[in-house]
Amino acid sequence: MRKIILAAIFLISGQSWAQTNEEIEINLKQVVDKVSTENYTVYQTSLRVYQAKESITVARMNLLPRLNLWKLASAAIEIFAGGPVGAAGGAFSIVEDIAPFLVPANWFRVSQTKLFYQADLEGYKALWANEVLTSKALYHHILLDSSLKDHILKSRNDLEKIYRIVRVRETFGGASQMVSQEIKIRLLALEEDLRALEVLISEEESLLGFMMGYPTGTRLKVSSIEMPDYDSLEHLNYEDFDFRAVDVSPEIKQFQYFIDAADYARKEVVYSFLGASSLSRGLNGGIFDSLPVQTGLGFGTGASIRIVKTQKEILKVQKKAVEETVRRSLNLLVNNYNLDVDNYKNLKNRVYLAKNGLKQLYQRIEFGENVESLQLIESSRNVIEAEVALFSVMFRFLNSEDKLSRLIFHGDYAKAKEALKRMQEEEK
Amino acid sequence: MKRIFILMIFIVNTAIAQSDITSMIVDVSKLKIEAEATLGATPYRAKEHQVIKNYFVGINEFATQIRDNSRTNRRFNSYLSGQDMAKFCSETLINIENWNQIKTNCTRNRFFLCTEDVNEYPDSKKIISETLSTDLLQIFKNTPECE
Repeated sequence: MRKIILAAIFLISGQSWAQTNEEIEINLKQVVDKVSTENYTVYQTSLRVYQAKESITVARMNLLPRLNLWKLASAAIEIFAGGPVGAAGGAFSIVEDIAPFLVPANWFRVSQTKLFYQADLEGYKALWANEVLTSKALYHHILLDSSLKDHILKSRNDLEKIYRIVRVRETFGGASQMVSQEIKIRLLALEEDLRALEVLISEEESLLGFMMGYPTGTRLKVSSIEMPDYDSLEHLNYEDFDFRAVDVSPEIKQFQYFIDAADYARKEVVYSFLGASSLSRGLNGGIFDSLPVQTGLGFGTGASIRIVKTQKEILKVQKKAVEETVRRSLNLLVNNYNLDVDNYKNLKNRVYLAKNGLKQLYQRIEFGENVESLQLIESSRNVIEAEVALFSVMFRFLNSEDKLSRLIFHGDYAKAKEALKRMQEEEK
Repeated sequence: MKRIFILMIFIVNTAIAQSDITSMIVDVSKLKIEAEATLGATPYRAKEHQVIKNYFVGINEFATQIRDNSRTNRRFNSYLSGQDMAKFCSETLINIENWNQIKTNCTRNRFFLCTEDVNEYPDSKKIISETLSTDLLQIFKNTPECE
């Protein structure tokens, strides 16, 4: 009932947003909070986790006797009319309904559903973290693209200034017609860049709004963030992070739960001669549904056990592959981060030199010296390129740090526990 | 004869129960010794991280077991009634200074790099204290080794 009320609130809140078209100013904290509570994918997954939790209750309750009138009637007929195996056969045929707790396979299914629920919780944690990561990356990209837009606007103004100077020179015969054309082409290219950036920012804002659960059409305004002290950033060491990244990874833990569940699936096959279970393993249990469980002690039991064992081995291999993927991602991230630490100082220097070069050219013009127009254009281009590269590295740092935090569940990602707790409270 | 037989079963059962708790405590205290020996071996690499993790996971599992299993809980209380609380705490619980030291050593480049179980240690201690009877809890609170 509580879930239904929550779902209704979820939908109504969406509707109320849809009716407003005002600009909403958001910050990074709100992004994390809204993604945790109102992101469609996160909410769907929380409902799946709820289903997995209820599956435990279903499996546990199904251990209790249940009333199956048709089966009782057919068993009674078998007992009194002397069916194929007589009275004993009739009595045993209803054991699964009257006393399902006597069927060991049912107990193993309960244990499996508990493990699948735990696996689902880890899955939820991973998905939540990925959605937060993507949303934060989008937020950073909006800021980067907005900075680039401002920068291009400034560059356009500078270039227009150069254009005017060159036009004056052309009028008085000091420069060829080709130069002003060249500048005009660059100005038009900058206009195109500006328009493309505006569309890109709008798309990013729209996607961020979707991830935060806002309806289409909601206009978002991202607040600026405090940038780190880039000069104090140091190289990272892969070995420092290796243990934590693997230890805390929900993807790896999820596989461990599947591996543990495989043990119960094997027991289920071993004890299948005492009856097979018809209980569902829940959503995640699908990975074991294709395993051949004999309905009695037959010649196929040995092979069935070997198949379950192989399934466990497959899961172990998959877990190892996930571990290696986590390590590889970490290694790549650390390498790129360190590369950016080294490049940052260079880029900062490059921006300084490029700006200085352009400033000197302007000063020479002011003093009436003859400056090559193409040299002026080239110098202006250098400034634009250097600044764009510096901006990109600065924002790449933010994303790298965030990716690292996601891998080791640090900072905003340490809120995973709170997100899980909140979800579990809502389930109650 | 029947009474003697029942009494014997009771004694054997109690002895097994006590040995279960004793072995659990011995296991945790072994892990604690290893963790404390590793404490200063910085920077922590996989081996040190694993030793530290083993202890904190071990104490957490111990706490959870005595909380979730009423029989184990009773046995634990009965075990502690006949034991010196200071001895139990010093053998199984890492003191606050060492825990803070581990936390400091676990932090590099402003990132916490050890297992999350390190941060959950106060919760484990709280669970243990909550499983104690009123009298034992009072002793637990007044014993410096248990802080």
